[in-house]
Amino acid sequence: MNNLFLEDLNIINVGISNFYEDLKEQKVNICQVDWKIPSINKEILYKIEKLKDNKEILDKISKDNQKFIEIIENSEIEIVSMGLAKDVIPGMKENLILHAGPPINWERMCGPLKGAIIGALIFEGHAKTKEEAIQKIENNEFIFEPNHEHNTVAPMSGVITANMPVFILKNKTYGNYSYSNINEGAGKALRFGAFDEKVIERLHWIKDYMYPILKEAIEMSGGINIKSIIVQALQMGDDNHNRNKASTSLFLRELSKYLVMSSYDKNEVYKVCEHIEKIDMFNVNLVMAMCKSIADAILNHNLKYCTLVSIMCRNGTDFGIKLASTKDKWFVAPANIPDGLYFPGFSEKDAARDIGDSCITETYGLGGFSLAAAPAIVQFIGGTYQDGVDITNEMYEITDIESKIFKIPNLDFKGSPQAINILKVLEKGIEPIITTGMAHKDPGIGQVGAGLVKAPMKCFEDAFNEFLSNLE
Amino acid sequence: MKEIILKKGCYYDSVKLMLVTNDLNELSGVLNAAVVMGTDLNKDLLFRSGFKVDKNLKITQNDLVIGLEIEDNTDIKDVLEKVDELLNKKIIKSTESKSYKSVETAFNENKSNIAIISVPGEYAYFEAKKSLDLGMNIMLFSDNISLSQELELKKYAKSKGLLVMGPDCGTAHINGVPLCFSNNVNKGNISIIGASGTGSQELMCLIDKMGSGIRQVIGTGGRDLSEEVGGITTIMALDMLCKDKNTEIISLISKPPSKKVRENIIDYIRKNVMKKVVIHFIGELENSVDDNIYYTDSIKNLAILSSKLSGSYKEINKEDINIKKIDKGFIKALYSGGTLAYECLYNLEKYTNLNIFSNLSKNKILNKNDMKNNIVIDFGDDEYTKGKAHPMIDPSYRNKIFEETLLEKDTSLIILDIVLGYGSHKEPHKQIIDIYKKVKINSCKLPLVFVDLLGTYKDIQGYEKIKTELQNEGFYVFECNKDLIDNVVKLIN
Repeated sequence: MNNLFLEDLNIINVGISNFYEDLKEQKVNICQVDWKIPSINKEILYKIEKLKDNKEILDKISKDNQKFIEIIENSEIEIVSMGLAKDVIPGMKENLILHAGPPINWERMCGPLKGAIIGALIFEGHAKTKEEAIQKIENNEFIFEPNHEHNTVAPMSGVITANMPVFILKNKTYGNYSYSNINEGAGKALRFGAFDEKVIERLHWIKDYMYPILKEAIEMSGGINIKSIIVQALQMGDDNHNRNKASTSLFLRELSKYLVMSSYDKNEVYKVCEHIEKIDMFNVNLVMAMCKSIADAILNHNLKYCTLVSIMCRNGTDFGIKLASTKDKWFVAPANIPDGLYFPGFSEKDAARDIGDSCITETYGLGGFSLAAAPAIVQFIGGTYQDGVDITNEMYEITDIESKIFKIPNLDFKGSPQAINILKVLEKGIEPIITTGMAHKDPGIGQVGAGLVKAPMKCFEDAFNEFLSNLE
Repeated sequence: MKEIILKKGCYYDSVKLMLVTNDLNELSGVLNAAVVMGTDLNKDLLFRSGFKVDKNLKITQNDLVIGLEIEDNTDIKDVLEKVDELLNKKIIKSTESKSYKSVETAFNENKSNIAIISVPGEYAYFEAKKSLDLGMNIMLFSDNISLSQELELKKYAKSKGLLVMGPDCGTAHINGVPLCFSNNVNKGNISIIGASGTGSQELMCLIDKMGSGIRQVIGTGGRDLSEEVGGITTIMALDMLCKDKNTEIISLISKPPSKKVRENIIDYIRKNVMKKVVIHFIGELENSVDDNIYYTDSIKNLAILSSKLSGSYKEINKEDINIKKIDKGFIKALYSGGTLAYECLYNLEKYTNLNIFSNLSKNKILNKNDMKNNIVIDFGDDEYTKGKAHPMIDPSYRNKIFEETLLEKDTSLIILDIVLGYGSHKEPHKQIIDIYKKVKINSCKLPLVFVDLLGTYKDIQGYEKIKTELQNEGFYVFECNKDLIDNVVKLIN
């Protein structure tokens, strides 16, 4: 029984705005949808419609998506210890070089990534010079694999080798571990592709001094609840990708009483605290590892019908994603160049393509997806407060829930957009947006700016086609 | 200097582009500008305006084409900058009006009960389906939707008890609210079921002028009574109107249905509808009564009978045409509304010996040569609206043809409909008059111009004011399409 004639009209106008304006003037209850031509092939739109018509499959999708979200909410994650990569990272070997982003071979790698690898080889003692390092690489003496395939994440080039120390996080609810390295600081650093004497020296200091001191303190603490730190930091103006000042402060605050009880030389402990104090970005490695521990818990489940995205990452050449349902498969497309504000003296032509595992934070509702919570970082990337709100609001279009854990104070504590649904991304033609630092495309120079970048739609198109073929 | 600039993959809706084009043409230094999407129709328009479109340049309907003719001392860079500015200008309306990026989020916040969809045809299906999924009735203004999509949407809607008005539905009036193109009419007990647009509008305006009132106007789309679709929306509309307390008379107007569908509809009415149903299928000359079903032979007579049955009727103004005959020459009927164009074509074919070309009949207008004949064109037809707004929103194409036919020496009579009311231009007659004045300066003998002025005396544009202005220009203005056509037939024979 159609009741339209008995109700007050409550209209949605999709398309020509004249109709909206005419009716609004007459004080009719109406709202406007700003429609744009979908950038997606119509074939895919039809396939999605067909999928939605199949009630049986829709139910299964709903169930598996629900499980994904449950895992996010139930995961209790702690920083439990530290160790050297070769001792703790599953599958680590002396000749294995881990890096950020999806799989890639040496020839296709960008400048900063190559520089970081050369630096790592020098640090490990496999080579004394750049030329020697390159020769050994070209001799196929080393294997390259993504951090992600070893339960690990790291920012920018994200290069991790056998003797580098890593944080160990445990997802206490689901039993899996995740790892990330220690942040070296801004400017000339390995992760930007620098490998001069000072960089190598610092890497050694980190391994020889910072690592044992931190490890002792963390173990003394019995475990640091990183999720709780992130939740609080979000309400203190951190987006938890580009701005980690509050998060880092909370981490150091919690650890400080244990550092005070350190068995190591006071002067070395001082230097450790000083190092952390100087690095606003310090906690980004930890928030990334926290998200990774959720992602891996999800990938450990069989969620064949799940349409949600479990991993997003990039290596300076390619952008890669994984769905919860298609497990090991990577879906890859050329990475974009971020768009934003450049530091004085630099411009677009200096920027490297999007790089790093750090958009694992956006994958779970932080970073660009929480931009409304971080007015300071919006300004940093050249936008206004309202821009930040608009960007966050756009992300609600492509996610399934308002996060039960990550709340945005200035949106009245609304949960951040969480659980990226590939069907929504495709149907609405809206790509996930990421706030990121821009690296210089030449190795070793460092960050040249900060801005926004989008995940390429092609990854989602390919992922969807694979998802469909798995259902048959 | 004349130039074409291409912006690939840049989409804007045709209304926005029309406004941008208008603003550009006002700029000093710009002799002629056209900013359009690269559809075949628009490429043709550009060609007609003198822009040469390089065949090797692959222009698709998803590309923005900027045609500029500027004075020699004007810098094209400045003009292009202005184009960018106009394209990206945000309309700052009330601060509290929020717009949404998708139907889902709009629905989640507002729990709406009807969606009006006017996106390009090839994507309208997706928005329509989504709206039906969410449980909303829909008004599909969009045309260029395939028959199979229409059938699928209507079957789906039927299974959910929802109404699909359209495709190509430009007029509806629900619960006193005018949707898209409609008119300011008296409230009353007559409800209309019409195919798409101007037919319903003509009917509702006549009923209003005859002293009766309108309850609901439901659009079914031009193909609803085809064999394939089988009248799904028409039947749902009949059902809803039966249950609608305030409807006492149902007036049904449509293009000729397929034989089988016609039988099914009449059969349905006989079995389920107790209220009086007054029908006009265009092209049928029946004037008869069958229990509670009344057949009439014109839109005008449909209005008269509906009014009389509803309880109040008064005669409308009839025009006194003191022309004895018209010169030998071609008749060019340029309509923005399909039903009216069809009424004209049908009557001319039946009552005169004229050989007529029309996009509505088998005698299709295939090329420029065919235009040099008696023609009846429905400018709202799908082939004329690909990538262009409907002629009632963007009259530029019809205006162009009007100007061309005025200039042709062998044109003796031009017929136009000018539509007032909600959704229509504020001064829909102005451009027509301007063109006529412009041509008049250089020509000694101009063809006759007959206008069907569609509207009510309450419509915001000012019916009587506009009628006077048109008459002052020498046009003959009719308040009813049938009266106009009857006069044309009389003059020809």
